[in-house]
Amino acid sequence: VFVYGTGNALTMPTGRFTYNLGYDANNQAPIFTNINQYGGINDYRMPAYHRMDIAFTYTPKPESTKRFKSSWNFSIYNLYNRYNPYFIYLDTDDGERTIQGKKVFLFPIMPGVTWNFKF
Amino acid sequence: MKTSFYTRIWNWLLLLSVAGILSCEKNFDIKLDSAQQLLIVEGYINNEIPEYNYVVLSRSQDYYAPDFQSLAVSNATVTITEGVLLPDQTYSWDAATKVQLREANQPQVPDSLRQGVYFDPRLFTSPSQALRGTTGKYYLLEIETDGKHYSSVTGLLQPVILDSISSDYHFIDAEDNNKPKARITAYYQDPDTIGNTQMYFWRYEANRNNFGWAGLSRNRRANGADDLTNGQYIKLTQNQGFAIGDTVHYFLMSVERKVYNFWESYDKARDNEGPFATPVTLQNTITGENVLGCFSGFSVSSRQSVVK
Repeated sequence: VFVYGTGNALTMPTGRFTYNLGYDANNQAPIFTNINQYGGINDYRMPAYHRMDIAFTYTPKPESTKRFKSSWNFSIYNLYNRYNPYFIYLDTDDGERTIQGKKVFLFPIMPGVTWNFKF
Repeated sequence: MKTSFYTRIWNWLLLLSVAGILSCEKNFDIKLDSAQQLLIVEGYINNEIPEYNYVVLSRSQDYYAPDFQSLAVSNATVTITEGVLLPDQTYSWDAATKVQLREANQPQVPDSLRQGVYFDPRLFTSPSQALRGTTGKYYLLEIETDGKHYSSVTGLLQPVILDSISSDYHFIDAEDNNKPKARITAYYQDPDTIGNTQMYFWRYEANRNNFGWAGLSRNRRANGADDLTNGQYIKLTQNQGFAIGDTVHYFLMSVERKVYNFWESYDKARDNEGPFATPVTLQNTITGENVLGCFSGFSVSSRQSVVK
């Protein structure tokens, strides 16, 4: 099965500025606060969500007339191991002066084995 | 305290869940649009501290720009004019009071921070004549830079008088060498007309030599609006602890609602990042093209006390 979904719309910052300027005499350093500047609402589109899953079922004795029946199911979730972002954010480190986009994703490729039985 | 079996199981499950989620994080190239560059204005006028009447001009920049400090705007023409509000809600400006502010610096602040900060030059030549706000008056800030004109008006309201401050709620601060500390409570009567707004600042040992309103301490979660407390006698305890024997200078600022709204939006916008950030836009009070900021009129009533 193939699952596809358009990425979510988000409001992301487009710029930033500093505000509330002062001077910290003890640390001999400027005081300021970084404030984000935003453009339009929902003007950022996250990457599309898609994945492929496959599964097949093996029944050892399909013709069996016994009361007890069983089968094996083998599956692979997210076959091509796409890191679909669950959410994204901007990680800003004022001390190191770095800005890095981050994405958090759930469920990479996951094989699964299931034994089903009836009685 | 003995931890129950189920609590331990729950803690392990929680730990594994968090570890599982955190391990699925990768760097990601978030392509952002370029921002419209804004002139950022931070202006102050108050009736008690002349050296704290200043204007900071800077510009915004793209989110990924490498410079983390402000892009100072130099060589702007910055003036402040005093006036009054007429009964027909228009202003009458007294041209004789017009003061041109110039880029300068306070002695305790290094030259590297001088750019883009404008003071009344009389502060350094004849301090007693330097710009000082008068309660009941209004002030017009005008800025000319790059051929564009910006302006803003703020008023110095009649200040709500701070009756007294007291030391209460004594405690031992385990995070500061077990120092005995107390909290400060401010007492004042809220006027009987609704719509009064206040901000609270304080100076104490840790920030005594700092400069600027940002160098003072302020509880960003406790600005005062009398929407629910109109006309009441206010007893407000700040949660910060002060060492016994420290001298605290407490400032109660009466501000216009638009100034209050700006600082409320600022408080919501600061430290607002990470996955749960909320897109906050500051409540601008400056008029002009592509400009953002606030000209803050602070009507100060202050008290000083030694923490007991």
